[in-house]
Amino acid sequence: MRIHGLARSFLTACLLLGSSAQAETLSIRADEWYPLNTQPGSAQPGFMIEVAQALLAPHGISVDYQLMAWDEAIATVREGAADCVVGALPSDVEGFFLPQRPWVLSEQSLYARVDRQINYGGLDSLKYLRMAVIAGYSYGETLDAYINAHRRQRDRIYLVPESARASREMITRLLVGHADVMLETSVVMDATLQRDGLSKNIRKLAPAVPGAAKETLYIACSPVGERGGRFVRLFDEGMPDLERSGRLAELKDRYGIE
Amino acid sequence: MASSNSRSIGRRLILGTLAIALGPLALASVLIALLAWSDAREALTARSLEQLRSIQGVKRDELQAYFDTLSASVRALAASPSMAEHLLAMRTALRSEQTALTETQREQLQAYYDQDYAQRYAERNPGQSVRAGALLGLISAPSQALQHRYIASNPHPIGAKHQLAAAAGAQSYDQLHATLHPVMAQLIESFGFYDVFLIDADSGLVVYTYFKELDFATSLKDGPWAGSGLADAYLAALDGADARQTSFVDFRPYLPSYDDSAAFLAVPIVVAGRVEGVFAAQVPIDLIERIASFNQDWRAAGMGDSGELVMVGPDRLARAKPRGMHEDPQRFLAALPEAAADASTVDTMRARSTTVGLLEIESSAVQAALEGNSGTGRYTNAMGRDVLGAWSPVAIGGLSWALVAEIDRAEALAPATDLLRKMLLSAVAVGILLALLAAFVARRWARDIHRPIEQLAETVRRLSAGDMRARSHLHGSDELGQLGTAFDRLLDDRVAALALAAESNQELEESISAMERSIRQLADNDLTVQVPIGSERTRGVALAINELIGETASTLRNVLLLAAHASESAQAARQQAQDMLAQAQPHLDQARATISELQTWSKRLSSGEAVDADLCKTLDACADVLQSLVTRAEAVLGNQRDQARQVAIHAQSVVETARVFKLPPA
Repeated sequence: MRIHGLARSFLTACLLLGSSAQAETLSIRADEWYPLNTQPGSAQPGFMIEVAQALLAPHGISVDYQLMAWDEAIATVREGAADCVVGALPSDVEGFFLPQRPWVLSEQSLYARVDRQINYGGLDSLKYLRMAVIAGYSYGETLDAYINAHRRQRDRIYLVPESARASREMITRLLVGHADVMLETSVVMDATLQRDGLSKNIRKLAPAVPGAAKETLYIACSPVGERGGRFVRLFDEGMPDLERSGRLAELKDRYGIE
Repeated sequence: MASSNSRSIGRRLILGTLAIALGPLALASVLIALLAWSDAREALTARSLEQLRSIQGVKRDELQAYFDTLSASVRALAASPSMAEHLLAMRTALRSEQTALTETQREQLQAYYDQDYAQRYAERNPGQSVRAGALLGLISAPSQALQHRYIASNPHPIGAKHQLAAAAGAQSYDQLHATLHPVMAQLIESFGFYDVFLIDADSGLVVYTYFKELDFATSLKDGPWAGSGLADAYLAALDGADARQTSFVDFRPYLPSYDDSAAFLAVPIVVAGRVEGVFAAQVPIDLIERIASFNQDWRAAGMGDSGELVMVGPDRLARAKPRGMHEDPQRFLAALPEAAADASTVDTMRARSTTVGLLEIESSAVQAALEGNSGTGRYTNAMGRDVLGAWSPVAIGGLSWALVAEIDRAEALAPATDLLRKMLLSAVAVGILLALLAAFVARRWARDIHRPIEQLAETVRRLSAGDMRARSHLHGSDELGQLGTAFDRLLDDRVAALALAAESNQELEESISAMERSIRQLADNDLTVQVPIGSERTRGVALAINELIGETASTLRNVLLLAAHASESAQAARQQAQDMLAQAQPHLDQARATISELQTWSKRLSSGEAVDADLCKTLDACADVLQSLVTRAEAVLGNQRDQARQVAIHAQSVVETARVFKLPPA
């Protein structure tokens, strides 16, 4: 009996050690895109990172989040070398596992200085405005066509070089009058304005393409093996509880996401 | 005409000789020159490409070495204990900075943003303006106070604010600044940095800059320059937190420097294992320009008159001024294609005297290099020129630039073109000499051929003019001489034959003339004429005519005799008829009287005296018969007389006609 008790204790210790050694981790790779995913290890690693952490924590699954160039991140996840990317449009991640509902809705919107009286009436109004955009970014088919058609007209398009904080550069250009409006993803811009206290300087004007469907942003998991599908199921199963608990609203408010 | 033909033959002989002499020479010269030219071009192209590859490689290494040195310098400076000490001390001093701007000071700072800075910005960016004052709201009050002390109230003019060692005052920051600033001045001078920065890691506050532009004392986290290249460099340095790594942010417009292109190197400042700040340096463009421009001595570097080194960033914009911008900026800017820069950008280039960050450079070489490929070849560069070039990517701070060494193909191949020109000139010179020689020889040949032909032509002309003595007198042993001798011999034979013919013709003509004269006499009815018998060829005709004349005369003579006889006979018959008529006249008169009596008797009987009616009828019948006989007798006698007279008349006519002819004696 004593031996039996010792054996049970030993077995329990082994199981605990084994469990500890095999603690499951979800690996997320993406380029920095405030507020969805920001600096790894920081107090605010990003809305989607924190949502993933909140949904997987009850299952004892931790999150390993690292920054990586966007194309490289997608390729890594597609090969199964990492589990998921965040902030993905469905068109970016064909074949990946996606939750049933997008985690964030967004739209390409125009922003202007609060002291500028601009009545935006759709794409036709753009010819009277100098619009700041980030060089090399894609804003959707309609806006890309307009930008490409007028990218050499400096009275219509102000190109800001692509960089990690190009949105901030656009804000500066907007404030000094180098642009009348700036084009940015609403989820990014709204959060930036809130974070940097710029709401008193800059306001949202309107969706750049009135009536256009909103962009759906997902966490997208690897099509290789079963892990991706399982993680997505866990996300879908846990999301109602996260909403009911108010935790989701709290995270949205924290990151300035509507 | 004959002379023209002769000249034509001579000219054709000369031209033909020249063609034979010069044609093959010209063809051979052109072919040889083209082959040599082609070979030379290939060789020169290969040599130029090899030279360009070598130069490009050297420059690539030089550029990388320069950046490596620069990066190492930045790392060394960041690792310097004094740098960390100053960072920490200044950060502490700024945190305790409690100075609040007065309204006047705030207006001064606002004026600096809106006027001084904005004016300098407009000067460097023609046609553009900046509402810089709007950014003041993004700067904290302590930062504004520092900017006022070191920028707005700095007595030195804009662009020279670094000459202020420390602001007046007893603030601890000012004392630290006074200590650090001379050290930084030495760094700037030694390393050639455009500016240097000390940045607090946590707040992103730029606690020190050398040049005191508007980035001084602002936060790179949430200040107005939070999206700038400096902010990216700061974040990149924090991201790695590795003091052994230098973060590089490529050239792009930097608003605090009036949107001039600026690149930054940044290294974290680590104190006791903790990242306390970032040391950043604004990369000096001058040294890159010096590398790219071969110290503006392109010829000594083997780049000739058109060769240059082109540096292009991933944004396709120039990282160094093109050679044309160094040598003749106005001409270069005027020649810029529309695709490379619009008019507004060109104005900015002119105002800044640079194309860095402004000129878009697109070419197949740049494209290939930016895609990571190396190579050499021929292509059309961004200025639309046909060039030879060598290209490769060059790794700069983890980025990849395109580095292209190129030279105008025309210049690279100029020796081949010179060779071709010299060969063609030599060929032309030899051709001219040969042409003169050939012309001389051809002229001699033409003369040797032309002269006998001209003699023959002249002989023919004289012959046609009637000079039967004309001869060619050609006695050469060649074909023309033999022709002349044969021709003269032929003329001798033909002329002799013609003389005989002429003599014969003369006799014939004389004979014919004599015959004509005789015939004209015959036409004048002179049958006494005799045609002389001159030429043998007319003898038969003359004899025949003479015989005809004799026969005609004899016939006429006989006709005259017969006519005379007829006339005499007619005269006699006429006379006889006349006589007979005269003899018959009394009988006829008597018969007429009888008839009249018979008619009287017949009338009496018929008027009543009633004689027998049958008798009267008989009497009338007798009278009618008698009357008829008398009438017929008169008619016969009359006809005989008239016929005789007619015969006489005709005979007389014949005689008179025959007497017209002059007859020879019987």
